[in-house]
Amino acid sequence: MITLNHYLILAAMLFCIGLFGVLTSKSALRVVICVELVLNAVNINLAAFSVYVAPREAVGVNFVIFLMVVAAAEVGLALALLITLNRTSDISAIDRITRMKG
Amino acid sequence: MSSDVVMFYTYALVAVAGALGLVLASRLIHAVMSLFATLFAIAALYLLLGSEFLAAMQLFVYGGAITVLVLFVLILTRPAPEGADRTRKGTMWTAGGVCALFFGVLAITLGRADFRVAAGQSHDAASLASILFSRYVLPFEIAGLVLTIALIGAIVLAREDDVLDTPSDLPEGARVPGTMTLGEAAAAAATYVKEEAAEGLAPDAAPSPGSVPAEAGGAE
Amino acid sequence: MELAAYSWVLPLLPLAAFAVVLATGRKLPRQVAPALGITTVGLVFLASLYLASFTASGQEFQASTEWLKFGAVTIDFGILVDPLTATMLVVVAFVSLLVQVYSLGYMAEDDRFRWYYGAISLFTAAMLGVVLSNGWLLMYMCWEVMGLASYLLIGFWYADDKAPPAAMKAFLVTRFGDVGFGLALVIMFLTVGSFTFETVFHSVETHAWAGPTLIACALLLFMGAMGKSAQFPLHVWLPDAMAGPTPGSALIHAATMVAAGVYLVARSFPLFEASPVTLTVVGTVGTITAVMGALIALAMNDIKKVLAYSTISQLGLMFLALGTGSWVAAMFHLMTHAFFKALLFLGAGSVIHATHTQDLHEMGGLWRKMPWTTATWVLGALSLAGIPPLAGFWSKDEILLSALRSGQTAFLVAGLFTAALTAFYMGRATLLAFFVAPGPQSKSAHAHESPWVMTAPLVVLAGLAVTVGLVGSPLMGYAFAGFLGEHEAAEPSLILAGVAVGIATAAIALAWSSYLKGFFEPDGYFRSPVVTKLLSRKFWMDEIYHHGVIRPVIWVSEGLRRTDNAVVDGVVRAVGWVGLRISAVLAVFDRKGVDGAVDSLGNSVTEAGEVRRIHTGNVQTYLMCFVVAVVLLVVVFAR
Repeated sequence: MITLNHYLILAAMLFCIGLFGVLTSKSALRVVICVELVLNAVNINLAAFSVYVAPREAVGVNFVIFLMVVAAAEVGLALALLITLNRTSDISAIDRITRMKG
Repeated sequence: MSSDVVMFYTYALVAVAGALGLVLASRLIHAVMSLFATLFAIAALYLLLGSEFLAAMQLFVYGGAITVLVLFVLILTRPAPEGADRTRKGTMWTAGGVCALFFGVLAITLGRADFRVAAGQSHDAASLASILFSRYVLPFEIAGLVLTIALIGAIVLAREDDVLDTPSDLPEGARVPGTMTLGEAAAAAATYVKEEAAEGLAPDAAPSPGSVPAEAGGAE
Repeated sequence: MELAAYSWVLPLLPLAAFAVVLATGRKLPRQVAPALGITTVGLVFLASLYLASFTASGQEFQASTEWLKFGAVTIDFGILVDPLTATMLVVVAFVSLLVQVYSLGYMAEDDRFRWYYGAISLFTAAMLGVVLSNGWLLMYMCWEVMGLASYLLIGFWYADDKAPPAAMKAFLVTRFGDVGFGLALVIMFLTVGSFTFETVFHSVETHAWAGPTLIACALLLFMGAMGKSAQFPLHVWLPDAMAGPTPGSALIHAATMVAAGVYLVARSFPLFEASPVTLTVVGTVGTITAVMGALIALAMNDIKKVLAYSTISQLGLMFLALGTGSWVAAMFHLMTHAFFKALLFLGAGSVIHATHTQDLHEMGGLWRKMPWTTATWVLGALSLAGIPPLAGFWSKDEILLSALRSGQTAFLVAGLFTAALTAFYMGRATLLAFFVAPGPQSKSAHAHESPWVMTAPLVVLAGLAVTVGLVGSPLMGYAFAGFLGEHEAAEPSLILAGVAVGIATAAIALAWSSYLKGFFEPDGYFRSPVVTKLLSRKFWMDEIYHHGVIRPVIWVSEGLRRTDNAVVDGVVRAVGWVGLRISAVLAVFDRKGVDGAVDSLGNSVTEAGEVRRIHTGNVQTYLMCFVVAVVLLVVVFAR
């Protein structure tokens, strides 16, 4: 019997792997797709809660759809930024971008 | 062992393996392919949850649009030098430790957690739509707006004839932040004054006459 | 319905003026900003006069409304109109009104005329909020807004190289005190569960709340008061704050905002009264500050700095009075001081306006050129020196009397010593600026009397500096004390008054004989190198901060940086980052005034730059710090 907890633990695992990727990748592109993985983990949580806790109302699933919209917008913008960055400067590694220094 | 359990573990295994591949693969193209596997497995999990609509959306949006987009970017940008995508060992271990600790805590907590699970028939696409277009119709419209704005933003950012003359990032130490030479400051101030004047804007907090160097004030 | 029920409108009027200035910017016609400011504060002044008569008839008004609700705990906020509030309202609104009228002349040439009025209105609104609130929470919030307005006005001439560091220093040093205020609120909430005066006082009176937490809470509240009222050792910001426009200094850094600390202690007096320890601390800090401020004022050659240290010293006297248990004497001195010190500051502004210098040695002989300014200044100075029957005499006498009655001889002696020093340095400043024959570097040749919008407020304030003391004098049967609810009239001590007046007169005579007649060498005390060093370096307070606080923090963070590079990369950076923040905060403590030591400033900035390397600019490092913190929180709170 697969319970809600199974889905949640799987989502937690994906989340942590994604987080690890965000923290350790030097390539900006990989950071972006790791963020996508993190968002997917959240989506699994939402869908699982929606199905198990409130099956009659598809509220959580609605949130998944909104999250997908936000993720699509985010990925589009991030990739545009990457292209710009790649064109105007020689940077491909994210840890070389240190202009945000106080 | 029911088929549900088998299917869940299969999909979960694919998802986790894909995620690990995404993080650990040394070439970016392999990472994107692993991502695709993960996204596909997650779509299958949505099916297992009984939400066909979500599964379809996952395939369209993630498996289709986003993966293709990432691939395009991979093609358009210059490849990073071999082995450049490895961060320092210390960071690796710290991040690994932190993430493992986090997962440990979450797994223990979630393993013990007891949720009030309700029984009932799963919802279908129709019930989802009835909520989306009634209760959440305003967020739905706003989400459309967000997408449009993101689209415009992406176009503006990635446009070839870039009006913004971004200075190339100098190597570390070449320029200490906050140390402008007087000439640079004057030039920056002059640019600022010109642009503001060209737009016909007079910012409220305009510097008093003494604060702008003479050549900047006289540039206009 | 009682008219007083609408007194919550009062802070909103100047706030509205501020909002209009903020929203319209340069589109606002130039003369509308002062018109808005003066009209609103004029209305507030009329209303506060009404409220004073309302409370004088023995009525009080309190109203509160529910603000936040967390489970069983409700937080209210509301207003309280009682005699203490009414006194502060009248003082604040009146001084603000006069300062705004005066600024019509003083700031007329300034490019950011409108914004100046906006900032003054914001300050007035915040200060009214502080005195009207019926609990510490709302007071704290307005208190912080007041600090913001003070910051805006100190840094008003931001293109000047002294103003921005001075503003930052003032903001951070007072904020350091406010940390204490905030912690006091936490203690109060944990023990009593309420922020309103009524509830808290009730639990103090019934001894439901007593012991160490009460003492700690009172001392932490006092820490907030020390920061705002520039008490030793948090006084270092006030002299630098003189970089702002002089009328702003008169309002905020002389008459009202700096007195808010005194008001805070007077308002919270039941908390302080509950234990002799806290009162002794208050009195001791006040005494040290009073004497030290007066001593440093002897050595200042900048007319505004003399007044700034004088303000520090007089505020010290008020805390001395609070320490002897007489909050009425403190409030009385607060009121008279607000009038004569605002007068002196506006007079100094008039002089600066005419001569374009702040150096006393570049003035001299101004009494021929500026008769009105001279006459009003002399009245203010005599009042500050404590010459009867001017206002300062009565209130200072009250303070000395309370020190005498409390039996704490040290306080009394320190009070008398301060009075002597005060008379001497005011005599020195007055003579040097107005009466001594102009020296070779004097800039008073082309001086001229200021326009009437500037002299009229001076005359009004001079009138008050002469007369306002009577309301608290035995001649009118201690009407002021009675108004505040203290009906037991103290036995006036003629001997004490005689001694005080004698000392003050002697000090003035000494100043007269050395600066004007040359019987003694002018500034003769500077011949001793020890005295010169001690006074002109202001007891090395800035150096103490530099070596005692800033350097160690820099060393610590430097060490952290080395450890960080050698051992674990990343996690330790979080700590280093905190160290950097602290050192950046403290680096500002270090800024010096005019008196040289610019090199120490340079050094500290360079060193701060070294530590800055920890602040890598790498987003992933920041993210790592963030994730570590979140995971730690989850680990702590996960069950």
